[in-house]
Amino acid sequence: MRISSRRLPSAVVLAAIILSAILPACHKSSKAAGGRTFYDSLGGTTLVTDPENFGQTVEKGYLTIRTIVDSALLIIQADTLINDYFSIMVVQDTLHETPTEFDKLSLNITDFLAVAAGAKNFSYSGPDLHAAHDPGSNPNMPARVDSAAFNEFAFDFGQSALRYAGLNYQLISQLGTLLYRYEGQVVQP
Amino acid sequence: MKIAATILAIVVTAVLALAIHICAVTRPQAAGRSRGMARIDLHQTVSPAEARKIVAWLYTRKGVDHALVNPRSATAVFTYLPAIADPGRIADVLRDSLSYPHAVRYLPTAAAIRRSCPMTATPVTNRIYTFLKRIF
Repeated sequence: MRISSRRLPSAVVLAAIILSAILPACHKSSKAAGGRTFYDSLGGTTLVTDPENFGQTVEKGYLTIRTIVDSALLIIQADTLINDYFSIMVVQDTLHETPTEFDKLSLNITDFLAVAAGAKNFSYSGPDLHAAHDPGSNPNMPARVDSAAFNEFAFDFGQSALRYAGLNYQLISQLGTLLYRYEGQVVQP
Repeated sequence: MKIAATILAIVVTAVLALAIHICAVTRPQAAGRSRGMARIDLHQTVSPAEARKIVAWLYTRKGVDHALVNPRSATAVFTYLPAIADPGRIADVLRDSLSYPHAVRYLPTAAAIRRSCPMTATPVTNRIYTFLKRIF
């Protein structure tokens, strides 16, 4: 099968994500050899100017993850395979209340992934992933999330990491590994 | 008398410093990163070139922060600064001036919102944590 050059990045992202899905057991921890975490590989605790908060600095690792998350949420919203799960993000905000639903989702997912990647100066205080996705304990979940939806979610994150955060394929694969560590909490039997 | 004046001066200075600190950390941040998201379903075929044109046009709208168009799903999505941009108006202008007569802003139903990703939940502890983090 020939893959056109325009589709090549997508194909490689798909391969990286699939590989990370197949081999999650090889990465029990976000720490790589030498004690270097995935968070360190994304820029770590080095403080850089926050492009979205005037006069403030932010850890480079956190900024990279936030960039990936924010762009991924846009990609997901335009992805008809899974955007139904995220329709709350485009709710009408007539009163300009802040934080918006997009803000909340962005913050929670960014904090969650930052901590999972090895960040020490952030904490995740959002809902418990397993309970939130369990129709038994969350009456708003009409059905269980299926594997195909989670795969698409991970693929969209890979696309975002490639296009908007400039991650190489090795880091994208590590991101996939990180996401698939939590597949069991989202996709429940 | 001198001791009382010194204590008073210290207390006044401390209160002033506290007031300035509280104002600084609680004032609304005009340049903060609060953003809304909007989606426009185009309901017609869109080529990659047309998608790029729509994205470029969206970036000309005041307050639009980040935009993309998926030609496969014929969907435009953008984030915006809620105090500046009016996504409903942007959708209307896109429909009328860019020849997408069937374009419509997607607004989820109450049922769709309830079914949405639970990760937007911000429990009370989360709010307290955020508040304390801003102060200290």
